[in-house]
Order: sequence, then structure tokens, then C-alpha cells
Amino acid sequence: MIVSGFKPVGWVAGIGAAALCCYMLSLQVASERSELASLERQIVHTRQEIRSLQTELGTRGRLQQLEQWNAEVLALSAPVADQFLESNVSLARFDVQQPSLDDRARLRMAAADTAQPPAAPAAPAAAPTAQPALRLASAPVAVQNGTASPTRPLVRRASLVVDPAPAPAPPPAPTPARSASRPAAPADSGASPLLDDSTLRDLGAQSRSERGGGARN
Amino acid sequence: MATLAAHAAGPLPYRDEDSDGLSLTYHRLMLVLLLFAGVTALVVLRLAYLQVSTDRSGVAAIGNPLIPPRADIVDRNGVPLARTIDAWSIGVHPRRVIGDKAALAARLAELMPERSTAHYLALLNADSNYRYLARRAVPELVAAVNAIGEPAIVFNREPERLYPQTALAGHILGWTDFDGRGVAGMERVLDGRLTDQALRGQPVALSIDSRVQSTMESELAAAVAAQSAEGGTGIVLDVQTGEIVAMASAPTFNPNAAGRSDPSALYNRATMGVYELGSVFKPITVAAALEAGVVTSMAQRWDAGSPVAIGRFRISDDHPLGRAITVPELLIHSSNIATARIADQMGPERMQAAFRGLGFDQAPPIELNERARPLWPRDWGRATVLTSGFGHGIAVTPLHLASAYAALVNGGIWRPATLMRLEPAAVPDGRRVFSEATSHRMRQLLRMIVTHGTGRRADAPGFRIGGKTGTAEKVSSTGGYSRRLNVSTFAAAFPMDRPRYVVVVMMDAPRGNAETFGLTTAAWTAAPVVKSVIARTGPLLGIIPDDNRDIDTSELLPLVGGSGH
Repeated sequence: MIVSGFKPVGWVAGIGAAALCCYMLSLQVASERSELASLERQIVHTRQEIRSLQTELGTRGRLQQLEQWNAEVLALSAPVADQFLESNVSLARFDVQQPSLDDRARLRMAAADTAQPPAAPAAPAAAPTAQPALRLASAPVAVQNGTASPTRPLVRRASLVVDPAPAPAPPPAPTPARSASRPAAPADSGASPLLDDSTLRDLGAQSRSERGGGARN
Repeated sequence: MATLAAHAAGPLPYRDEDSDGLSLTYHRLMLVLLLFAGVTALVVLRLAYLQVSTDRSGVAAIGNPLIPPRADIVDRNGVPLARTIDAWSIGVHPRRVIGDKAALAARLAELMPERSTAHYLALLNADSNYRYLARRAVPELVAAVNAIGEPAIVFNREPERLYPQTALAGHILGWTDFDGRGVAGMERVLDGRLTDQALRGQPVALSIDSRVQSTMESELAAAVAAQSAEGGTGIVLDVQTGEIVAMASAPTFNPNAAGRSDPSALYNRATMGVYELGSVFKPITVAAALEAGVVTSMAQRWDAGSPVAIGRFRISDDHPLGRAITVPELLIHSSNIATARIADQMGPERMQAAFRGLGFDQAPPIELNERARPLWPRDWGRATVLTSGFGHGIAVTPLHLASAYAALVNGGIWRPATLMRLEPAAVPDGRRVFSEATSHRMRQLLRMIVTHGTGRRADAPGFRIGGKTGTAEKVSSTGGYSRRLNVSTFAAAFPMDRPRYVVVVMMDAPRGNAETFGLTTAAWTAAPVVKSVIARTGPLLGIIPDDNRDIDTSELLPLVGGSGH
């Protein structure tokens, strides 16, 4: 009974709530719209500013002014016929440099490089004593790959060897300077007796195989 | 509603007569209630309707400020040549001035010295509501005047026409008055289009290339200054379309302050000046003679040995060759005598027809209002016919000459010159005035004049320039021709193997300088301008200089005698 008495009130409240919702929605839309309008006004304002700045820039950098600057400072002159090239062929005409003997020699070296480690052909010819130092230098890389477990203990020995090696071999090829300097840091004296021929051979074979497969330069 | 229903349901404790009156009152009350409810409902409905139906999207579009009150003018590449910007104006309400007027006037005169203190005082004492103190004021001036602190002085933003390139193409653009109406140049011609509501958002593109225009103006100004000439003009014309790529006239003026410029600078020599242009007419005469069959062969010899006598006049050459010469020699040595003989054989009818074909009898067909009618001879007697053959006795504008040369080299089609950029489809068909063969022959001959004749100083390497010099004597102020006052013209086209542009440069009354050895002939005055303009603008116009390319003139070279210099 009471419920039915409040029914109209409920209706009124319901309709009022619905109307309020509608109004809120409409208000929301209106505020969005006004925001959009203000944004549009801002865009228009910015465009106007762009236009006026463009005008100012164009006026300041007018052709007469550029001409004056050219006359006073740049002194550029019109290009002549020689400065224009018609095709790639005429461009190639300018490549007049002939490869010197030096250039050719360097080229051949590069070709040899891919076949063998760079130090290998040079070092044995110059001084046989330099060979161990060179090979050893690249050895740690090979070991890190972990292809052969028995070589692991050799690593330490190999690096230790390096220091005494440069001493008896002062005339190594100029190229190994870079690789020799790296193992020089953990140098330890008295390790030379540990470096026997088989060790060297193993290391050399490893480094060769690694270089041949991986690094190409 | 519920309350009303409750009352109606209940018993009425009144008598009948009472109940009648009561029910009447109820009815009235009911009516009033309904009225109130109705009005309220109406207001609510109206509010709801307004809330829903009002379209606020139009708020931002009120008078789109991006559309200028007057359309921009741009060049063929879109570089702005004329724009409308918001400028400051300074005004005063004389009746509302509260400060000391004399002191205020003195201060204003100090800030704006173009008018006197007395003038400002008169302005401040004027019996009017509003007076301008300054228009087109710069912001610094506005700030300074504002700092005076006089509340009667007001500042407004007004649309102002600005020419960003200042003096560039001033003669073409013209200018506007304070009310924004075009009063000269293209501003006047295009006034309707520029202020059209529907179209003013779109800029109008002219045929001018501002880079070429700027080059032409600076080279011309330099030459005019160096040779102390009275003035000069230069035109670059597209031979295939008739579009004017550059049209300069020296001295120039700044359209931003057209009123303050020297009135003589407003004179556009390219379209308003009519001149007897002299020997540059010779190729036209030769071409007309080729068309008419008067000249049948390039090897045909024309007597240049002795002057031609007409009545008491004698037509002679500056450098007499003293023999009969071929047509290539005629042009290379610029022989008046031989040209007069050709014109003589042509006769008045055919000469007139040739000139009319090139539009020499009417004002140049260009949009500008600032153009002059040529001086077309009234009487085509023998003397007129003979002298018109080498450009005397008939006066045309330099623009006429440029159009004629375009027809001479482009295959023989004459097209009206225009300042509007043309879409390829809009290029006029023109009318044929020379045959293709004649045009080809003329290209060879014009090229030979530059390689072997009087035009050598215009030969920019690689650009295959062909052209003709013309040095005419000017009618001096005392009447009669003066040998010292010349109109020196060089009319050229390039590249001659496939002509694209005609370049005409005319120097008005140049005085020689040390560089020209005191000479005022076209070869020393106008030709170097043509050369530097082409060298600078050729690549911009898409013509790449090439030393390995040229028009074949080998068949004509044997016809040129050894006495060439």
C-alpha cells in the first residue's frame, strides 16, 4: 500500500533522474564542443601567426637582400658549362687517379688476408721467434669458444708466455703490435718453459680454424 | 494533480447555490493553474529545444580570419609577391584629448617627423571625432606613441597590402590605395578577382619567376648605373607560351611606398615606352622577305657598296663594306643599305603586312593598363618603307619586340604576351606569321650574329645564344636625331638549337664609360647584360649550358666573307 502511494514519487524521481542524466550528457557535449571551438580558434590563431612569420621571414630574406649579401660576403658567381655533367660517363671522366704500385700491393695483401691470418705469412718470414707471440695473442679467443676442453689450461699458460716472447723477438712484423699489446697486461715471468711445441701447434691450429670460419678481416 | 483528484473525490459540504459558485471558482482556479502550468511547460520545452538544437559548431567559423580580405599574388613558383597583413594604425579622437595639446603635438612631431608640430596641433584641435595620425605604423612607433599615455590616442589593426620583395616587379604588381583598391599594375587589373568572396582564399599566380626577375632587375640596375643611362628595360619571355618570366624597368620603385617614389620611376619602359629600336628589326625584315620570296637564297647578294638615296636622305652604313653582300653578311655586319634594298623590294604592302602580323600596329596584348600604342607611320612612302626595314620611322615597345622575336625563333607562331601563369592546356594557339623553315633559318642567322658578328659580347659559353644588336639614335629634346643619344637594344633567344626563352634588354640613352671605351652601342651596353642574365638564370630555367651542343650553321658560314671583324 505504502509502496503504491510512493509510486508517483518514484516515477517523478525516476524521470527527474533521467532528465538530469540527459541534461548532464548534453552539458558534457556542450563543454566538449566549446573546448573544440577554442582549440579551433587556437589553430586559426597559430596559422595566422605562421603566416605573419612567413611573411616576415620572406621580407627579411627577400631576393634583393640575398643579392646584396652575395655581393658583399658570399661572392658566388653563375656556374659555367664545365660545372654541369650530362651523364655518369662524363662524371667518370674525372676519375683520373691511376692506382699506384703501393695501392696495388695493398690490394694483394687484402686478398691474402682472407685466406690466412695476417700475421701468419709475415711473421715466420721475418723472425721465427715472433711466431709464438702472435699465435698466442689470438689464442684466448679460440678458447672462449670452448671447442676443445683440453686447451683450457693452456690459456693461462699461453697468456703468460707472451711477455718473455717479445724480448727475444724485437723485430716482429709491424702488424702484430696491436695483438701483442693485449696479452701483455697479465704478463707473468717464468712461464716460458711451459710453452712447448705441441702447445703452440694446437693453439695455432685453433686460431687458424677460428679465423678461417669467423673473422674475415 | 493528486491533490485535485482528492478534493474532487470528497463530498462537498456546501449548498447547491454555494456549490455552484464554488465549482465556478474551482474552474477558474483550474484555468489559471493550467495557464501557469502551460506557460511553464512552454518555457521548459523552449529551453530543452534550445539546449538540443543549438549548433555550436559554427562558432569557430565566424569570419574565417585565414581568408585574407584581398587575395595574395604569387609568382609562378608560389613565392609571395603581394600579401595582406594586419598593420597598426594610430588615430586620435581630438575632442577627447585631456593633455596639453601643444606639448602632445611637439612630442608627436618628435616621434613622427614626417609632419610638423603645427600640423599635429591642427589635427588635435580639429573639430571631428576621429583623425588618423599615422597608417601602416611599425610596432616600435606604436609602442612609443602608446608610452605618451594620452587616452584619446587609439590604435587599430587594419589590413595592409605588403609587398615582401619590396621593389621586385613593382611595375608589374602596381599598388593599392589606402582603401585596398588596386590603382596600378596587376593589382588594378585583377582587382575583381582579388577581392572576390569566393576566390580570395586562393592566391593568384603570375607568370613571373621571381628569381629571374630579381636577376634581371639587379643586372639592369647595375648596367644603368655604370653607364649613367636614363633608364633601361629587360624582358624574359617564354617563346612557346608567351608568358613573361621577367619584366624589369629601371629605375624601379617600391610599391610599399609608391606615393613617395620618384614619379619618373613609375614609368614602365617595357610596355609604356615606344622606341625606334633600330637594327633589331633587320632579322624581322629578312624573315618577312624570306616568307615573301624576296630573298630566295642565302647566297643571294645585295649591293651594299653605295648609299641608298631617297630624296634628300641617304641611307648609309657605319662600317661600309663597299661590295655586294649575302644575307648572313647583312645581319652579321648589320648593313642598313642592304636591308633598305630588301625592304624596297618588299614594298609598302608586304612590309606593313609583316609588321601587322607581329602586332606592331596596336598596343601590346598584355593585361596591364600601363601600355602604349606604337607609333605606326601614317604615310607608308618609300622613305618609310626603307627606314622601317632597319627599325627607324616606326616606334614600338620593347615588349612588341620580345613577342616578335619569340615568333621568329619558335617555329613562326606569334602568341600574345601574358603576365598570368598558363596551364599547358591554356596556352593560346597563336597565329602563324613565319613558316617553320624561315624560323629555322632565322635561328641559324641569329646564332651567327653572336658567334661571328656584332653580338659577340653576349655569347655566354654553352648557352647557344642567338640575337641581334640594335643601336638607334634617339630624338633629342631639340628635335632631330642625336648621334650621342642612343637607344641600345639587344634582342636574343636561347638556346638556339631549341629556343626556350627570348631575352630583350634595352638601354635608354646610355653614356659610355671606361669599360665600354666610351661606346654607347648595343654591343657594349645591352649585350653584356643579356649575357650575364642568361648565364645566371639559364640553369634556373632548366637550360643547362653545354659546350658540345649548338645549332648547325656550317651551311651558312661559307657565305660570310673575310672582311668580318
